Formats: sequence, C-alpha cells, structure tokens
Amino acid sequence: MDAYSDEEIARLISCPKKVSVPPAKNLRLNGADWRNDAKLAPTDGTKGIFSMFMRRNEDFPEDFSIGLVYRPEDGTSDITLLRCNGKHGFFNGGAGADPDHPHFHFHVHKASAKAIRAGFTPEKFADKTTEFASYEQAVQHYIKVVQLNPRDASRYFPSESQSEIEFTE
Amino acid sequence: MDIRDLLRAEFDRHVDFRERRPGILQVVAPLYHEDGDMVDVFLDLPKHEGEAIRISDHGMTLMRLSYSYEIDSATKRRILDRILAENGVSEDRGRFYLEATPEHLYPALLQFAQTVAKVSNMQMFKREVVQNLFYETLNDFVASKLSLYKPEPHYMPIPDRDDLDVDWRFPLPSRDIYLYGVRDTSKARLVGLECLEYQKLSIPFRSVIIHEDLENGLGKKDQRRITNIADKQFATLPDFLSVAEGYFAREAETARQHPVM
Repeated sequence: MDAYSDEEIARLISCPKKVSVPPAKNLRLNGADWRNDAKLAPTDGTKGIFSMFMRRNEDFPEDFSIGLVYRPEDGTSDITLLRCNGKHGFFNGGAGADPDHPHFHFHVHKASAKAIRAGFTPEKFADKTTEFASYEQAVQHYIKVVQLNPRDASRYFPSESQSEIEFTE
Repeated sequence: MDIRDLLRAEFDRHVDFRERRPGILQVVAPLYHEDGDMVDVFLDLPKHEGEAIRISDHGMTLMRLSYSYEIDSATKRRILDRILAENGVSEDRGRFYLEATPEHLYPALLQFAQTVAKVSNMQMFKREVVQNLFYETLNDFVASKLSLYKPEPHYMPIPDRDDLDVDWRFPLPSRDIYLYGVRDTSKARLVGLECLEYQKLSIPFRSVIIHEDLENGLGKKDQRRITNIADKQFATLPDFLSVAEGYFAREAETARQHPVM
C-alpha cells in the first residue's frame, strides 16, 4: 500500500465530487445482498476516480456497508477510504483496542496513516457513530461527508423525505 | 495456573452467543477480519428434533468480499467453488453453510470459520495474482476457443526488434489481427507505442485490444490515447469472451471476401 498521510486521506474523502457513472435506480439483489454501485469524479482537479459501493444483507438488513474507494491515476493500488457500517455485529478496533469490549453499534471505518504504516488494511480502525441509525440515514451521511454536489445528491440519492427506497429483485 | 487450564478458560471466556433472530444465534468469538470486523458466523438452530444445526454466514462473506473484489468471472468462480468443496462447505444463493450434529458442532464451527477466512482472502488476488489471472484467462481462451484461426503467441512483426512483440497474431489473408491484453497503464502505453511503430512502417494489421477494465483501469488521458490508436477495443475481458467467437468469425469472413485491401 502506498503511503498516504491522514491529511491526504481526509482531503480525498472530502474533495468535492460529482456522479460520473450513476447508480442503478434501485438496489438489486445479488446472492444474499442488495447492492448498488456508482462512480464519483472529483471536481476540484484531484487526480483519480472514486467508487461508491452500497451493500445491504438480505437476511439481516441492519448489516450494511456504504464505502468509498479511491483509484489513483498512476496505476497504484486502490484504497478503501471510508465505510459507513450498520450494526452488523462486532468489531475490534485493532491494535490498542480492548478485545474484551467488542462493540455493537453503527460505526464508520476510515483509512488512516497509522494503519497503513502498520501494514494493516487501511480502513482497519473504526469508531462508533451517532450520525446515522439506519441505511437510509447512512447514505445521507455518506454523501455529505464525501461532498457530493447537491444536484447529484438530490437526483441520485434523494432523502427519505423525497423518496422511498425501492428494492428490485 | 497451568497454561493449558489458562487457555481453556480463555477459550471459554471469549466465546459468546447473541440471538439475532428467533432460532438464529450469532457466534461472538475473537475471529476478526483484517479490517477489525468480526467474522460473521451464525447457528441456525434445528426446528425439529434430530435435525442438524446449520452453521451459516447468511451471505455476509460474499457481501464483504464484494467491497473490493467481485466474483465476476468463470475463473474466480472456479476458485471459490474449489475452496468451498475442499472444506466441505455448501452454498445456497450466496450463503455459505455447513451442517453438523451437536456432537460435531465444535470442529465444524472452526472448519467453517477457516473457510470464511480463505474465501475472504480471495481479495488478495486483486492485488497480487489478478494480473496473472487476467492474462491466463485470456490466453486460455485464445488457445482453445480461437484456435481455428491459428493464433501465434509473442509474434514479432519486425524481426530485428525483439523488444516489440504482439501478444497474439491471427494470420488472415488481407491483414493480420494483432491482439493485446491490457490491464494497466504501462501495458496500455507500450501497446500504443508498438501500434504506432507498425503503422509508421505500413505493416498491414488490425489491432484488437482487450482491457481488463478500460473505464476503471486507465486514466482519462490513457483511455483517449489508446482509443485513438486501436482499431477495436473491448472494455472488459467478460465483454470480449462473450462475443469473441462471433467477432472473429465475421473478421475471417470479411478477410475471405476481400483478400486484398
């Protein structure tokens, strides 16, 4: 994994973006999970492209993950920068976390220089969050954090008040 | 305390169960994925006496894997099926499971968790082996399905330039087809330079480029460059594999009808 500083990671997450490949209108069932994907392009001159994935387990809909993956233009490896997760079970924040105190909360994984330096998965460390308490709220939180432009946000990811989430098999 | 007693006590202390749905228990054990999330293992309790306990992941393994790696080719599917088969794990619509009697539950649980870890590790293929998988799949396909067009690997159109070689040459009456597999920027640029060199020397050929993932694998400038140079491109390997035989049949027919162009 190439070196990324925490500042670079934060900048990549929050650089303004637009939708370059729109998500499907509805989540689609693939195996045991509902899913959707989109591509996001930076609008501030940042090089590279971003992928957004949305996954939600069919048997346990409270298990979901909405992620942001960065693909640099220079051909180096992709890096998962962010994942907004549901209460899918337990997680251990890795080295330094208390293994006797697993959590069962909505939580956010974020890439960090510390994890990369240690040779861990970049987004190994996670923090519980109160920013969202459902899949729909997590999507709204995500598009705010990744600075998706308001027009695309309301067009492709209308909030609950704008539209009901639809599911298609 | 004896180390063995300590370990036994520790094993016991770190295993718990949480009811996720009526009749479905989640196993809470210190089994973690690389990102810190716990490995998802559930026990579907039997509805009737005498039935086996189903150890299942309820689809979480493939869902997690899809964050960074998709099972989207026959080769990947074969590898996944092999991992499952070799570990005695079955699959039902994306859900892995293993059935066990109560007396065999413990070893079955460990076996299942190991299988989940092995499948999860398929994401390593993306970084370290996928290059070989891409070229291997393409080469296998060319050597088998397109063999009637007599493909020649590593063909050198300019004999004294051994630094320039075509992945596969298909000799046709009018002009050859030069086929290249491209999965990254450096190969794309090399192929572009080669094709320009052949064009400069008026070598009659038609270039066909098969990308691993044109849209996501190359930057915009490289996409533009290779698009301007190539005669025909396929955006992904599955795109090529699905139409290649028909495409080559049409090219061969055109070459037969118009032997000199």
